[in-house]
Amino acid sequence: MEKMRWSSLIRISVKVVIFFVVLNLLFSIVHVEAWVGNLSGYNFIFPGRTRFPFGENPGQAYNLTMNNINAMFASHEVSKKADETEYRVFLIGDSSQWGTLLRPEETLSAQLNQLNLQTCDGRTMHFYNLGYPTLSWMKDLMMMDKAKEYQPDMIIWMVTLESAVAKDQLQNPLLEGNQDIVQTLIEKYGLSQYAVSNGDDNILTRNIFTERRNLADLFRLQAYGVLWAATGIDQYYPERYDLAKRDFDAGDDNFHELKSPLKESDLSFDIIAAGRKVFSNVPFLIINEPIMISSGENSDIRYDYYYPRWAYDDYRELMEVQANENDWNYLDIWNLVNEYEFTNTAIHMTPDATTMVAERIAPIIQKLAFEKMNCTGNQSGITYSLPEVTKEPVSTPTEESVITQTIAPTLEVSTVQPLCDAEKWQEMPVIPAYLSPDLKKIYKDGLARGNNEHAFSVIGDCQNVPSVFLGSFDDPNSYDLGEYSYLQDVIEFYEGSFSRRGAAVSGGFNVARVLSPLAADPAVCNKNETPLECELRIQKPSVVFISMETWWSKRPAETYEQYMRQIIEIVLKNGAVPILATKADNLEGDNGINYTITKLACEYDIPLWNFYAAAQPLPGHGVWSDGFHLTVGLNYFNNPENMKTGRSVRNLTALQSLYSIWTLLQQ
Amino acid sequence: MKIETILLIITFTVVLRIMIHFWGKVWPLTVAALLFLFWMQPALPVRYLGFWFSCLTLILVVISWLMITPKSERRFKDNWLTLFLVFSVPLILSAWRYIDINGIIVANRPPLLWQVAIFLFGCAIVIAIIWRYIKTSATAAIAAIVAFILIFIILKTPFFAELLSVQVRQWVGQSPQLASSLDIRWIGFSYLAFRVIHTLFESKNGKLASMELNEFICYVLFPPSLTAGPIDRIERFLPDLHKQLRIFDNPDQYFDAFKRILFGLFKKFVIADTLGLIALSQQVAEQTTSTLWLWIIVYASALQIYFDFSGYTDLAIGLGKILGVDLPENFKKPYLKTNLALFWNSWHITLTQWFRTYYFNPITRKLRKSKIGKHQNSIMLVMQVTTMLLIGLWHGVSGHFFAWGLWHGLGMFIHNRFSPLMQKLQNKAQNDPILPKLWNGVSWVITFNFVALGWVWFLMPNVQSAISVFTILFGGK
Repeated sequence: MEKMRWSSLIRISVKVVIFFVVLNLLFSIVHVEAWVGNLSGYNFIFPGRTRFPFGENPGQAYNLTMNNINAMFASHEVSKKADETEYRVFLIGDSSQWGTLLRPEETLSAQLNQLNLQTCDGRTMHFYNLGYPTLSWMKDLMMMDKAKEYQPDMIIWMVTLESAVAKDQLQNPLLEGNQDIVQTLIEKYGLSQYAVSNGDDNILTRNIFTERRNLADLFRLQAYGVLWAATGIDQYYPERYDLAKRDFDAGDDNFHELKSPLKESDLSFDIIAAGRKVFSNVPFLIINEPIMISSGENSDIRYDYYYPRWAYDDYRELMEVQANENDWNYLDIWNLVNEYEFTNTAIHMTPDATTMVAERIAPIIQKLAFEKMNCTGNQSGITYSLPEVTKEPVSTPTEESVITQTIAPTLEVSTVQPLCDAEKWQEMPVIPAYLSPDLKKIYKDGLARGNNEHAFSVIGDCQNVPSVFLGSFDDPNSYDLGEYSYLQDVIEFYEGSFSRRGAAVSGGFNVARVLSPLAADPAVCNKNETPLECELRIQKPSVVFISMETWWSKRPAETYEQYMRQIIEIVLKNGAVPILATKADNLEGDNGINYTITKLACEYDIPLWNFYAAAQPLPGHGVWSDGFHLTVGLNYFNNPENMKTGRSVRNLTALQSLYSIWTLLQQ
Repeated sequence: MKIETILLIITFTVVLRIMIHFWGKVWPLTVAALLFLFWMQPALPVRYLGFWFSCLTLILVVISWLMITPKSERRFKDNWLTLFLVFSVPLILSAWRYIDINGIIVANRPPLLWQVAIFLFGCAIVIAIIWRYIKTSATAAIAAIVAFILIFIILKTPFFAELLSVQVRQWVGQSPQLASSLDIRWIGFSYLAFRVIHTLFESKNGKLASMELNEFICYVLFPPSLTAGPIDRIERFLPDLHKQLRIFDNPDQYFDAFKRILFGLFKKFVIADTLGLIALSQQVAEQTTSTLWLWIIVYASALQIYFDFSGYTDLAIGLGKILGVDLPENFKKPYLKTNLALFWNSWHITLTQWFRTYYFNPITRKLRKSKIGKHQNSIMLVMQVTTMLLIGLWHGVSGHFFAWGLWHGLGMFIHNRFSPLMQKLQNKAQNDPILPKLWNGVSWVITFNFVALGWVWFLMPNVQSAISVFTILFGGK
């Protein structure tokens, strides 16, 4: 090889420098990265994302926050070629619609999809989640303007006051990273009151080096496509998080330093009008999304962390006036959801509450679609009439039915073994009233081996976490026993166990997973320990609720039985009294799991809490129309409304079962 | 390392080259090596520990030099300045704490000046005694080798490392309850140990020419290769060290150096770091529901490990070239090889050569000459498995590294047993237009998959997790 001379090296270096400068100059002039954003493996190699990329913990969420709108849309399932048999409904909004802390299948759009709504021409409504977790109507407008390219048949825009404040519209990272697009929007829709700071766009401020993060994000987004495809995870779900604030300081009625009353000019109604203009030819529904209405300290001043009452009430009035004046389709469901159904902020809802919202808006969406198509008649079995806007918080379905009081205010226990017949499992009593001598012996042996007579455990899935199951009984302000006041004794006896989140209860757990060491929490469990063993070791319970509703797969009840047997045997081996629970749902279709549970209870001669029987007289048998989630109510048993809901009745009957077993064990 | 850190290192290397122009290689490299040793120690949770590790490294280096240098060759007048540097650098750096600009050369605040002075005084006495009274001998060399191996075992065994952490935390008044094996990170020790043990073996075998202390420091602490190799041999290194180098010498060396550095940066920061996002970990393994995608993740991890490590090697070789030292190659397209032996001849070459030279070859030879010499297959099985086990355990004394070593050891043995048969079949088919290509293709697929699957043992934190991954990969649940 010929030796290199200095002159050659200098020539090469000069060429490299010139090439680099020219490349940067071109990069500065032509927004290459915007075009590159359209190149995506999503919808080809990887499945399209069901919500936009966003993530503050990329390593755990397999997702990231980025500014490239083209790349965001290209990675979304919305950019997949439209199917002729689908009616495309785009949901625009904030983190509440995006689904913070919700799994992809739990978001509002996903739950609407699960309802399988049809249009009158036979198309299936496909709801696309175009929410993005920042609060600004200008941001929503930017997304809508881009969404135009993807042929929506209907737009649903979920709004809230925090997104509406005019002076803060542009204080949003996504907008700051897309100032050129925002400027175009402002010019296009005559929104000149919103001033974009025109940064100098030159080679020094915009070159490959200064934009390296944005460029690298494009690669990262594609790389995370692999993990999205492999895991279906696109968000980090912390084990614990702080619940939205419910107590407020006295006198704190500040809202963005605006003065009461709110004026029209304080809010960005012009952006809503612009949004309407973007989609003037398709049905367009604006929904004021649910917010937390706190009952905590000083809640007479503030509804929640975001909103003082004066500001939010003014906003609702202004919205209504604007909607009437501009002939917008507007639905206000601000108070649809109970305060306990919000998670880490005053707008982020639990899966159950999201289900409730989906149920509530589904008929209206369908009505709008039918109106657009000039259809008549109830072709899908859903009522089309627009419901009245509710004035008080509700959290139960509005089904009219007379509740038969089936839950006795007092309990009787028996010393005679009742007949246990699995074939007649529906007729088994709700509350167990008998405990076999063998089981009492097991209990005593367990105590001798160190079990805690004041401790119980729950082995279960998402329906059994303390936030929805029994947890409130450790907080005297969160329940009212009403005529069931005798249960207070058992609450005091097992104090601390109710609100404790055990190692064997978690969303996604099922009979198999509680027996898998891989599912155990490494922070508290030993190596190779299953969640069940871990829980029994840590808590040393004397009584164990075993309540496993989740069984999504199509595997038969026989498999469920094999695992359940192992669970029961492990619990008995540990000297604890198991209480088996039947479930309200029948997702498997033949009630095979409830039959199996009852059969095992009879075979092992262990207590059965037949919640199924308790749920039957309730509206919708205590479950929502998804056939799984329980209808939502609080543990204020003095309120008849609560006693119509699956969740309240479940908590009450569980407590009664615990009381019954406790009484039998004391004898 | 962050890219900013690497760009800073490149800049300093170019400055060093300018200094070499005026003062030759040895002294500028000695000073740079001493400073780099302190600079690259990370901030550790245990107070002053990083600083003490650097001090210990220096003392071990001096003692090792004494172990390989015959008494007659230990000339104080030729080495006093190096010794002065060795003792003054820690003192100056500990004095750094009083001018309150910590974090520039040492990551943590250094210990008090008097503490360092007492430590160095004690070390000086030990060094003086060894200098004066201990002769070089096979026994001394072996004792030094054993000492290095023992330190190595302590550092790489989580149990011992945690015990050490508890002890050190008690000494410095920190809570022993917070002790963790991760506290004990002695950056650079692994590669330093390989180089020192190499010189001790060569000295013991009488194959090592004597050298001055500063030359020895340049070799064992050569900054470009201190943290990630390659493991150079001293007889190859010293001629490079003594080659004269001017700023404007060898433009093609500059070209090669920067080309190599650019390749290294691209491999590490573009390819490896992107693949790193989807690399196999316990979390990913537990959450993955698809067998197909898990295979893709395993392949991506295999590539990530290669591009990361070979990227660092390219950087080291490129930086070495700027300083006029041609470090040996460590990778030669390992993933394109068609059998496991060829793979190990082209993967982390300097490490495998080291183990071959100082473990596999001598012990195999001894076993063959011994009473059990006729059991060739057994000897081969034992030696190949134990060699790979040692390479595995060098990464850490734990079950999954053991399993990784065993995987490759058994793989090497099986390959060794079947290779004559395969060779015969290959020879028969050599005139066929398609079969040899097909043969190569199939061999490559098998080799690559064997190695890629081996990384599952390596990457998972324990054997149980690795088995779970294999279960999903092969269709189980």
